[in-house]
Amino acid sequence: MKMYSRGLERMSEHRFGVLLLSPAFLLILVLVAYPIVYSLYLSFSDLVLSRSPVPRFVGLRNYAEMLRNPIFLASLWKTGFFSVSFLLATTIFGMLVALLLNNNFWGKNLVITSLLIPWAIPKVVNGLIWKWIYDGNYGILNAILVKLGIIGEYRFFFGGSPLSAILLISIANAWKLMPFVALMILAALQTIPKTLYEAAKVDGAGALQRFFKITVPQLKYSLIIIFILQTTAAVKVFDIIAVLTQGGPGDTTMVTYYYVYRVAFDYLNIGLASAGAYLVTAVIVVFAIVYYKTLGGGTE
Amino acid sequence: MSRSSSAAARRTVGRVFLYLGAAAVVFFILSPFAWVFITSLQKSDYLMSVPPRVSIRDFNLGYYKMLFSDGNFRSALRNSIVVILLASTFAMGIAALGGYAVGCFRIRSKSLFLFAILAVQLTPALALLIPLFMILSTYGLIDTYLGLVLVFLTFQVPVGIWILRGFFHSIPGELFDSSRIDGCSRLGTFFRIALPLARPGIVAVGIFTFIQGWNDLLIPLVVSIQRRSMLTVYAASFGGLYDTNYGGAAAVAMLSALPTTLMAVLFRKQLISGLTAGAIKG
Repeated sequence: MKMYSRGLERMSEHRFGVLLLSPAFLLILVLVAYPIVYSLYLSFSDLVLSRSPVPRFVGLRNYAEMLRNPIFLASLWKTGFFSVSFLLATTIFGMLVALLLNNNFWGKNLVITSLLIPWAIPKVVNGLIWKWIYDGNYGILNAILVKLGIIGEYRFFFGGSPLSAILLISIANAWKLMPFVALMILAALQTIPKTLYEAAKVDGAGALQRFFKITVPQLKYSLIIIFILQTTAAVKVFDIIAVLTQGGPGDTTMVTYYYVYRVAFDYLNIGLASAGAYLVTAVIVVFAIVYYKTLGGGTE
Repeated sequence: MSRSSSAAARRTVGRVFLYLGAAAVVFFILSPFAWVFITSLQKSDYLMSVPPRVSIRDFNLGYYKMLFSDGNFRSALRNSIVVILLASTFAMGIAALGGYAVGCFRIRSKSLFLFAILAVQLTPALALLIPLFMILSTYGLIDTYLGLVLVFLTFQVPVGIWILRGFFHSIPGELFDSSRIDGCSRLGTFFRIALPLARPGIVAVGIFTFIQGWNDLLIPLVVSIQRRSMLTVYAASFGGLYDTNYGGAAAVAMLSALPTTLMAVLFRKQLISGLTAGAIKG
């Protein structure tokens, strides 16, 4: 033991640092780096677990098959529509809530605490909450809409077009993530110097003018980061689909991430799913690069 | 005189709108949650009525009792607690060592390691879970505590190091130097100086990893099958377009949300500063 500790004292700073890092390094090497390389190989292989556990090299065939697959292609625009509607909803409402909370008033802490609740609950629970609200037989949304005279009788909301079904999922998801956006924008709002607004007021700028000429430009950096975080979250939407619709009815709400999961773990087509996962990763990497560039461009 | 009173009137109107807006936000945020809570306490014939009926006098814990009498629920709950507590504890430890190393030491190719850590956070979980499923199957680690904890750690340790790097970095280097001069060993410096000073950060890592881990569905869905299945998987089994166990779904939703909601409310301050740190330039 004494010898061991003397060794620790004598080694260079670099080696001691590496020693401290070794558990994390080992974890990343074995459970991240190796799997990523392995799945690249899998994506070039024909491997359907229900047929044979042995992968067979087929080159780019999985990628070609995925990019010709009508369900996958349809899932791309569905994911896109989901992302855009989700992004618009969370940003607009998040901004309104943040502007509200940027004032001082009695009970403000209560509002902030309640904002944390949707953020903290599991996404699965978010799905269960909205499944019950949207329910076609006894759901409260049906009850409210009938009461208001908007619809005549109870209806099954997910039976309509893919767009309306995805919009409903998007609203449910926005309920959970809007608070996060609001808190991020609020934090950024609090860094804008008050003197800017006072000067604009003296110059006779109205409230709307102050918002678009001062607030929005000052928030640019934060908004870009929020957009990118929210977009990657939207591309990876899974839990709420798994709980609300499971991609159905039919394939109406089959978004990309959920479809790739299905290909892997329901159809057990590991090769095809690996190719799909790489395609999804590629999309996210593009966003990450934009993120990086913005960060780099924002620091000067 | 009339001018100042109109300004005062305008301020009053502004206050009224402010409180109305705040009330609307709280209502919008809490009402879906509250509705499910009420649902979980109802009698079943009240749930299946048009229009909806609520009777506070008939509130009962029937659906919660039903859950606790289900062996699958009890085992899922136990597995979630065991796996997430183990994973969060190990994540705090490994991330503390790693964060200390990258925050306080000159290490060659440190930026490469930091880039790897960032890359892991950006990699979609599914892209990793497909090959991990194959690898864990080979070693018989599917549906085991070890397999689950390892996979959770894979996602939690990088986040933890990223958070702690800043905390350790902000400790003045002179503190370490003087402790070494006073004859403290390297490990002693870590345990007596660095660790206590970075405690808020380590607590934050614990909270974050607990909340993220407890809430995750995809990892247990892929890595466990039956025996070690977790609470989110059990809760998700109440999902789908055609499941009609409304009361059971509401009760399991409330119980799954309870630990992380409590944590978020209790550790409000740390969470908000941690969450929003990325949004502020500087």
